[in-house]
Amino acid sequence: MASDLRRLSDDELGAALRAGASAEEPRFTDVWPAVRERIAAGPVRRGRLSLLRSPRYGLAPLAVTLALLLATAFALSPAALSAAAEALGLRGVQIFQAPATPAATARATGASSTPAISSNPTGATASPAAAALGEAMSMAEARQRASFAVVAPLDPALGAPDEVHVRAIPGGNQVNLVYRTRPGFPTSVQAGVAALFSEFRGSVDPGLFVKVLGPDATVEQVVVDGQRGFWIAGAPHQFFYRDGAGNIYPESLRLAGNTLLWERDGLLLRLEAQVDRETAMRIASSVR
Amino acid sequence: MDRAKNGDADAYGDLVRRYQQIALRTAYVVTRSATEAEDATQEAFTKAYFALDRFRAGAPFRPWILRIVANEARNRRVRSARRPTVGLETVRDRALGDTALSPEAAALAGESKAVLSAALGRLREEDRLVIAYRYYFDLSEAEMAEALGVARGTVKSRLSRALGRLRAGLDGV
Repeated sequence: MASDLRRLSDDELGAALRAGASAEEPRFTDVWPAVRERIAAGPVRRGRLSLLRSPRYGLAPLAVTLALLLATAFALSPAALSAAAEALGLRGVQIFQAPATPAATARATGASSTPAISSNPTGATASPAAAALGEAMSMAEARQRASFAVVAPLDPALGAPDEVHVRAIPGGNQVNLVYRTRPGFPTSVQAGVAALFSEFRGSVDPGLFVKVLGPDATVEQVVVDGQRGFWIAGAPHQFFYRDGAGNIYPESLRLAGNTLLWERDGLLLRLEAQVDRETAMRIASSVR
Repeated sequence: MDRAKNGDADAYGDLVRRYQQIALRTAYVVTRSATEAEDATQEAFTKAYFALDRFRAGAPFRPWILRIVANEARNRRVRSARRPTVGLETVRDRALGDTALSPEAAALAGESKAVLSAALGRLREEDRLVIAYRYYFDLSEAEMAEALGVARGTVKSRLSRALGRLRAGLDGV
């Protein structure tokens, strides 16, 4: 009978699917009472956002969060990583959500199994001009140096970048545009910048970048200029590199802002800024 | 919708009740577990409520909420890193055992459902979703594009590729 089904046209196969639509679906319970209760309890805690706003917290909780996420990242099996990549993959990037209880994982992993990290993850955030961004140069030089045609947002709210950096990454280089203070863009207390725009040629190697999301972060698929992207909000989230040997390194600069990640003509583009989705999408669609 | 946007919880309740069935079924397509589907749907409607201010006025609610639901369901699957389990296996066993007994005429209405369902369960969740949106829930192309978060022009080809893989997957039955 399977062979009968195989001979069906798309339309006929569709009709067969339609006929079997609810064949083995369970009966679901009404979710509204639970939703009403949760709504009444108020919005869910937005990890990094509240951390940024509240003067009670300095950098220490951030360091703790990063450490926990790091430990979680190392504890993840390749199978878990590839399952996540299947669901949320962009070219050259993997995104996955850390479990709801990273503390438990951290304990289980133990400090001794944490590989050495080349740079201090919190120390390097003091200046956005840290080595993490690569060599500072003019836009013209960056265009010559980059292994791809450099693009940039043309949105007037951002204007021209204040700094242009080029950094070598496995298989090419990455261009980072730094925007310091801008009206309407909250300035990150960690990095002292309002927005960071990064671009590199995404390789089909699935392991180049790893993005770790805390349990409170939300990921939403978006479409930018007809191409796939992800809007990541409600930090904490964190970028890591994975080298050819599978070692994971944290990216040293972090704005802790909301992030829009999207593809464009084979380039992987990333905008980090503490702005809402609409603003990020508007800026993204101005990239030329 | 406007009342819900202005923080009217009862108005939002109407929206939840109107769309929860399709939301639950969508989540189930992804998680293949009734409990996880209910959890994901609950989470999605709660998040959606607090994100209503980001919802474009006049835009259709259904694909918007489905996208959030599918995302939640996906996150849950990623978190539990579980493959579809019991429900599917049962269906497959039944399909294998019964095929010889089924009369030709009953094929499409009867066991083929189980065979199809088993083959569907072996597809990637991305493919299952596109098939469910089209044939289970009758979403329009525009709604599918919005719910899947893809360009409208790619919906047809995605569906066709998913059906192709479904067909190929019937080999294993």
